[in-house]
Amino acid sequence: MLAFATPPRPLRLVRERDADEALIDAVARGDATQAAALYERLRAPISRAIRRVAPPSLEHEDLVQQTFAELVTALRKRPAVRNLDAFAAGVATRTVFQRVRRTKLEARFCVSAEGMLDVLEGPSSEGPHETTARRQALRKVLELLGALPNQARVQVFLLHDVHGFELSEIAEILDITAANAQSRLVRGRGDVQEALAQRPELLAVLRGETP
Amino acid sequence: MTKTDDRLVAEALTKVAAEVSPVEDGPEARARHLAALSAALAVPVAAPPRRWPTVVLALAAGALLAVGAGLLFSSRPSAAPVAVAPPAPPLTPPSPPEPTELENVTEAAMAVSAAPGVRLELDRGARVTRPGETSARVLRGAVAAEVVAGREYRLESLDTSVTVRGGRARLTVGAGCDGRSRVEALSGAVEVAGEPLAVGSTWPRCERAQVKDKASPRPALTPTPTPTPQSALERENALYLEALTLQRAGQTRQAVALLDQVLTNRASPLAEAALAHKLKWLTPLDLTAAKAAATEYLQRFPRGFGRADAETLLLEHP
Repeated sequence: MLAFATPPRPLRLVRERDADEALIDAVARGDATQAAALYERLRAPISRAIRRVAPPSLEHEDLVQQTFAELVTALRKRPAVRNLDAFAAGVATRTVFQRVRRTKLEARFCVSAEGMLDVLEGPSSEGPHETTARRQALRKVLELLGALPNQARVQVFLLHDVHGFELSEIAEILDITAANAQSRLVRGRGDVQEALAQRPELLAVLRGETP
Repeated sequence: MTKTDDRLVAEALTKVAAEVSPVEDGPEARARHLAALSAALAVPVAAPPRRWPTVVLALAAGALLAVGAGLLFSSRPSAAPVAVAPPAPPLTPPSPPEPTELENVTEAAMAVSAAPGVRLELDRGARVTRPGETSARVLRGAVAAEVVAGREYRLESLDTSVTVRGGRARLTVGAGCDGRSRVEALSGAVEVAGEPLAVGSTWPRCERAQVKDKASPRPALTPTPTPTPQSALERENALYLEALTLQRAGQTRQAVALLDQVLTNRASPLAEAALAHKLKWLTPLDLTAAKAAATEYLQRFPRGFGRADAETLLLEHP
């Protein structure tokens, strides 16, 4: 049985949105006392977003630190933040992409993301044979995407259709116009369809059609 | 209705992305992130854009239009009724933000975002005042500015000013040979007091003897004249310049041989630049040797200006 030296404070339900708004306001005002709160609130989503898109050669910790700094700058412009997690993920992805552009590793952005490969190569919690086969097929799909000649289109396909960024966000991340992002997305989907048509065995596994 | 192939793959990969877990920070990483966050939050909030010049211009334009219209439609030019705009109310521009200072009191280097696309790295003990959208003044220690392409940022000290465009430069107060600031151009376009500084070089350029004199005064009597480090540096400089000339003339092998002579002195100040050139020049000629040079570069200069080239080479040719 647990004993408390002082009676525990009653739990209070706080709407996350209210807390986020207070946090955004504190950042905009430059309230340095909220650094720990901001860190604890967004550490996990930022780390996760970076691992979804960053190639393994980039230092994760460095990217997290840079993302926090960029996030403060971005929040001070008083943007319309509907979801703080998604906003932070967008800033993290943009930070990764800026770094990737600088280190000339653009071709490997997204497709060989460390976190995605870890999931596909790690042990499956479900265990059945189908899951393993499916993961192997997905790994081969990523290899296939990584070998496509126009990586700019593949990136937009992954950012939009896999990671769920809107076209306007992708335009900001890639420093292109929204129309360009739209064009790349349409063509990227076409590229992916064309490449997958050459590998029907992978599609069969993903559809669960293997015997 | 069946899913298209790209949709099928996208949905499967979305599930994989949802399983990606965050990395847990250790206590040191946590402390570093918190220090960076605190520093970023301590940067003064930018003042709202000044609107008073626009208002004054609009009033002036209105007055001119009114005068013009009066002259145009008047039948008596000498006594034209002139419409006079109401006088502008007294406007007081917003006062500038209070000067603030940042000081890295942590054990490790600290990074802050001074403006969109501008990152300042403060070494331990470094102190910066008035970090703003376009410039920051370094009071103490070493500060590096990293600026994305298309942006410009200025680092100032008491005796010099460095402008970085789409690159990285470091300013260290009091580290120059003559006690002034020292500037290192690490990448991109860097200017010191309006003069361009080549990537990989430092400002001011000091004579080695001068540094030595400052560090430890030479005794009055020097019994035997020995080759001075200055002459070695001169020889390396000559070799390096000749290598560049040969490479421009298309004689890359001979150029690399000269760089190898520079690299025989591991402590040479030209070693980093020589190794960076070597790995690039060798890539089309001898991939194995180029990869060896890239590996050596990353081992010796893990944060050097040629890191991107070395990493790209090793990644593209595993």
